[in-house]
Amino acid sequence: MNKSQPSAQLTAAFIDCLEADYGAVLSARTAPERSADFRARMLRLLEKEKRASHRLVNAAWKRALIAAIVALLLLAAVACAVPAIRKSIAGLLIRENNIYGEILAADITREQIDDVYGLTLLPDGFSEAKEPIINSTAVMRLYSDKSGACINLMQTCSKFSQMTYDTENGKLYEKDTGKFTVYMHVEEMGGMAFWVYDGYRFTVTAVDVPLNEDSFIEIINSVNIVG
Amino acid sequence: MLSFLSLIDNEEQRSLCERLYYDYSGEMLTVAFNVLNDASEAEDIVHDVFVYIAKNAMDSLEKHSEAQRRFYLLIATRHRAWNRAKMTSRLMSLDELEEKHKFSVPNDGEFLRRLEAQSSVNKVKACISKLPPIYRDTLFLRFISNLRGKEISDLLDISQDAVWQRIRRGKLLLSELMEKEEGDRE
Repeated sequence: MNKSQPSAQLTAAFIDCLEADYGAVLSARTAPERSADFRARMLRLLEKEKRASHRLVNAAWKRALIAAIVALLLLAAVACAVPAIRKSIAGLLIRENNIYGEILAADITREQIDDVYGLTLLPDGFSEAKEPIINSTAVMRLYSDKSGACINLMQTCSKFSQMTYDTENGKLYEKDTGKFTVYMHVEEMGGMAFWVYDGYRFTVTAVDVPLNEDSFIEIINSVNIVG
Repeated sequence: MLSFLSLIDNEEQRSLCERLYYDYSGEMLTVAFNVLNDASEAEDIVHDVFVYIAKNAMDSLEKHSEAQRRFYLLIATRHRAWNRAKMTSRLMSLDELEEKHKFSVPNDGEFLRRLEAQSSVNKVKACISKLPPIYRDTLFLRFISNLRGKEISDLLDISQDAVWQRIRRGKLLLSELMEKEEGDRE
């Protein structure tokens, strides 16, 4: 760093000039549509950077992140992706192709977290692994057992709630659970579901948890206000 | 195998790098595309900039204001696009500048003091706006973002010699513009 610090006025003068310069370019041109390859490359990079920047991760989180990175690597094959299809499902606007899907928007009506949700039914041996992270726009809870299997619950009302998921290794489908309408996938050792309810977007992700559709739906339906 | 985990969720979970990507990658793509007229090459440039900042610049960016971060990214993008388009040699063809100049290039501290000593901010702004972008951008990184020559060199992907040349010429040009402005006022 230099020892001399510019005044606020000089900084503002430079920024105004740059604003005019770049503003002219930005108003005259529009950004080209991002290619699938570019998005996949950027997601890999951002995930790698995020992993490096997160210091407080426990073993379960690490496992989940590793699985997520594997998912991202699969996106490297996007060159052969079929054209994406947009659809509105479970309160979510989704764009999907045969490699991955994106939640583009969610019908979130809450401005902040007014009620805190949690899972009220857990598989045997599971408990809340650490203190939930609760802030004004999100609640994150992690439940795990001794083997490191984990279930993650996310409740958010953030407008920046885009999400990417893999569709190559498991197709998601809409399901009425009797309590929620969710977009979900379940397999022998895990599952994922997301939906909008009560003005929030919810995501439940289970990793290394023996599941079938019924048991996963029981977990999903146990999402209730807990605080 | 379960491999469909969610990756990027709410804003609070995001690192600064992610937020910068979501906030500014569109503008960065536009800037690169404006230079290169090739969407694929523009994407490469934006990706390269993020590779660079993810590796080298996150600590530094955390200390900057939001406007400074934005222009840091846009400047890096445009200069790398210029490099790709091999436009910098033309942009830098101002060799006669120093010869025709009547005073020597001030050191950085002196240069900043001269800028700050100007009575009118609008006058300074008018002079900065007349600078060719290649010098304005470099002076911004040096004097407003407080980057070292090596950092600018890495960010713009040019040699340190080229960085110092741009800073030197930028200072000369800006000093000349201010002298001229002062003369006109008198």
